[in-house]
Amino acid sequence: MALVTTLVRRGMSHDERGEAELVLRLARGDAESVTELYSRFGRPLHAYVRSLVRDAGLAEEVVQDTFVAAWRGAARFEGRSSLASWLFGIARRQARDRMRRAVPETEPVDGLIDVAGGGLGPEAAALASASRAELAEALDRIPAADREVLLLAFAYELSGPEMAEVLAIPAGTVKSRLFNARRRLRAQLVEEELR
Amino acid sequence: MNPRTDDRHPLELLPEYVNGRLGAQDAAAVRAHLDGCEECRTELGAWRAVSGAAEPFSPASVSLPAGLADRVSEAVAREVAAADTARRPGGVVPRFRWLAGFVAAQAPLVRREIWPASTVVMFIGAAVSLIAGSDRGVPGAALSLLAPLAAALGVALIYGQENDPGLELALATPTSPRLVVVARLVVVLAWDLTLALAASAVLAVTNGPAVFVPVVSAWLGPMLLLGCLVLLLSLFVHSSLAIATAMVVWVVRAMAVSGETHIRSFSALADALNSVWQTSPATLALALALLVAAVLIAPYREPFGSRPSI
Repeated sequence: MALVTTLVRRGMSHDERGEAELVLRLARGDAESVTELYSRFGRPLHAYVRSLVRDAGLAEEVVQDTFVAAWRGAARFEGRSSLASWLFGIARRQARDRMRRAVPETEPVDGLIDVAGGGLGPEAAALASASRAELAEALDRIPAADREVLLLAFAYELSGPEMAEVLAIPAGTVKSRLFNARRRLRAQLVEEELR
Repeated sequence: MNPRTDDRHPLELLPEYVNGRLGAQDAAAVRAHLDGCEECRTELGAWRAVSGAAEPFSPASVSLPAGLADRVSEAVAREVAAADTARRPGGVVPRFRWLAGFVAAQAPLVRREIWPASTVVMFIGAAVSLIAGSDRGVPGAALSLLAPLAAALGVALIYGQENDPGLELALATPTSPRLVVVARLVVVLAWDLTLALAASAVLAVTNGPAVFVPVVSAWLGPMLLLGCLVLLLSLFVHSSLAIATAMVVWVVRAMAVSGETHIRSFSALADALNSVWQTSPATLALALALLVAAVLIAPYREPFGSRPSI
């Protein structure tokens, strides 16, 4: 019960307390709690894994592995992160294990790239005025690591600290990654217009 | 150019503002700022556009495969069952099978040099014994000198960070270090016992079956005693000290056996030493006591701390 008491003392919301109790049941080896975990996180985890692993069958296996690993590793969940980011992190590692190279190493996105038009203003305006279909196509074509950070923010709605945990990078780096990924999306749009 | 982070334009907060993960206070501040800032509204529009592009990947848009929930439950149930069997092996046979598998799994983990090194030493012992024949008393004198030493040197190297780069991993598993030590001892000693028994059998073939038991008893007790002594020392202090001690102890013993010393007072010591290095109940009990001590201290060995390297 120590974990829950600590979390409660830290001033957690009701929802977060529910999460902490769920983890506690997992850690005690209660297999039933996996069903509850799945009903809460199965859908977002599956969507995330599908964005990493394009093969549907393989993605299902990764989702299964993720829940097995969560059940096995629940004792190591220390309540310092949210349940969602913990599970996303596990899913990411499981996907990588399955794919080795196909899932992005989060390396190459830190170098800034130049975009025609220079500053943020025109870039932002161009993105805002692009059609959704164009943007979706560009999103599909940018490097996987850039796509991943944008999806974590906007498709899976993780907070900055949660994204930092999933990607295993500092919180400050998450912000620059987001901006870089957005620039690359814009560059991809330009490239497709020129084609 | 880096995203501007000055106080007036809350650019860094916009992604979380868009995905709804910004705290209420920050969100209110951003909203107030947006009212009066055309530039930031454009920025917001850009992030909203990106967010819209991400929509097809969102949980609501990706269809969840039918039956995935069941397959997840089944996978976890299998894991639960596997964990249960590992925790409570049902019956003697599965338990033994698990233990046998565990012991066998140690073979690739101990230092690879152990196997060829002990084989060569045993081979030399057998070869010299064969060549020397039985003209100097009991056949197999060379074997009885070399076999315990070969085993002891191998045993000195079975545990510890200096011998096992994967030890950190092994220690992270729920398997007790005691079990690991015993399993590795069993693997290495089994190899040495097999070799020494084979060598003794060869001697029995050439010298007659009657010599088999005396030959075996000449090395068996000493091998176990020296092996357990070295194990204890390697766990308690360091492999290198264990090896050095084994060498010294064994050279002294060898001098006592051969009687090739001119120091008169040494003969009393030699007799005492010879009575220890036998295959006798007392020797085996002593070996067992050393083994128990080694197993007891195994978990307390500092696996990565600085240890004297001699």
